[in-house]
Amino acid sequence: MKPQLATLRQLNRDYSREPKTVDHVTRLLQLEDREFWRYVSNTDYRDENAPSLEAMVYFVRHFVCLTDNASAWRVIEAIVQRSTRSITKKLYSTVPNKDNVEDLSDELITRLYSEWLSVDAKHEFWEIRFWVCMDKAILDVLRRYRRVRDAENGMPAPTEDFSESDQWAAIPDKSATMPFERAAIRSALANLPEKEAQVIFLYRIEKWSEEKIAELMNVTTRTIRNYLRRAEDHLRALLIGED
Amino acid sequence: MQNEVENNLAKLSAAYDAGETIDLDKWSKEFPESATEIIAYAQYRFETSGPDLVEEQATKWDRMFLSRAAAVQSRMQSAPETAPLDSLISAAKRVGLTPASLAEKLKIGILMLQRLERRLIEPTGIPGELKSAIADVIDSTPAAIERFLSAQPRLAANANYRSQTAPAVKAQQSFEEAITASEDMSPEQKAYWIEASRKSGE
Repeated sequence: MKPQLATLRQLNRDYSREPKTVDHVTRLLQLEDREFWRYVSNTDYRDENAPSLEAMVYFVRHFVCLTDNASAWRVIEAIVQRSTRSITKKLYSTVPNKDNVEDLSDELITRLYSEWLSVDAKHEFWEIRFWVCMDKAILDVLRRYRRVRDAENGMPAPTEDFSESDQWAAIPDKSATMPFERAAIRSALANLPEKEAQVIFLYRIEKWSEEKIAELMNVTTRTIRNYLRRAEDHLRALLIGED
Repeated sequence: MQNEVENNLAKLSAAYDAGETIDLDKWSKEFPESATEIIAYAQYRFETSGPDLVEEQATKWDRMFLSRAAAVQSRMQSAPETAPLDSLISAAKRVGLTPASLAEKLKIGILMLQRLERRLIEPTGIPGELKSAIADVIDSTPAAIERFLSAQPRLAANANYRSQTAPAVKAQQSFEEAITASEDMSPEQKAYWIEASRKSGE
């Protein structure tokens, strides 16, 4: 059964629905059941004629409102088929231990399904910017995974008690980051403890000063230098390991 | 708060997609309330901007993901439609947990648990991580927990009122205020949940 009465209410956001999504929803509502499901079940992620993912989430939530869970799940299956390739690429790039990808996938999928099936207004942004919500969901799962991993590895916060001579020499000039180094840093970031990864990203890739990073993280510049020193040690070990 | 974060991430995402040069310093100053999320998102975009996987490897991961998706769907569809949850503490008792052991498993204080039980905390500020943890521990679902926490606040179960006017519950507290005021939680527990609340933006 497809929804007979659907409204595209204006959402209270800076962003509104994409005209393409409004067009897809409007068009799909005019179709007979069989045609509706033929369009929705188009799982080719490269097909530009397939309904937008935002429109698909709209229909999931609408079917839930109509208490037609079977149809809601049917649309969800199509969304997953369409979006899997992009999701797995993102997960694969950001999780170093591939043994953990399955567990993380479970956690992510459970969250996605719960949010899509929820009629709570706080999840309606899925109908407006699907990939922004997806990136946020992946990022949240990833940060949680990294916090747990760092805690299990007993990563202590850097202190300021390194001797001056130890800590200054190991930090390379940030202006010297070459393209091949960017690629190496990109592939190594996922292996670094969360805070080291953030510091090295801001310093080596974004070219922030130590003072600016210290201000953001609310620590002293000395602590930032210690993070950098440790991150560089980790990076070196990882890069040597890869060779 | 969550709307703000999502809107700002959407703007940043559009700027990345349009190939603009992103000055993170400028962005984080323009949207200071979302600065942490903006920087984490920029780092995530950088990490995920590498080359595509080779087709064979990508297909293998796609199969794995679709298989996990089917398993989660099956689990969620077969979950029995349970009666609405009416008490976290009663649900914990049903799985053999005392209030103290429930609080311990959730890494919160017993006072915080009581506030959650009486729904004295604004539900939108409660991190999804805590809702999922409650669901796991008491063998429920995040949706059921969400429905429970979003219902009207209630009076203490053992309160004894003799007033002629109907008693009223106190106004709801924000999650952060409640955590900060919980005298039986360690500084580490407080810091953990405050950070989780800020990060989830929920």
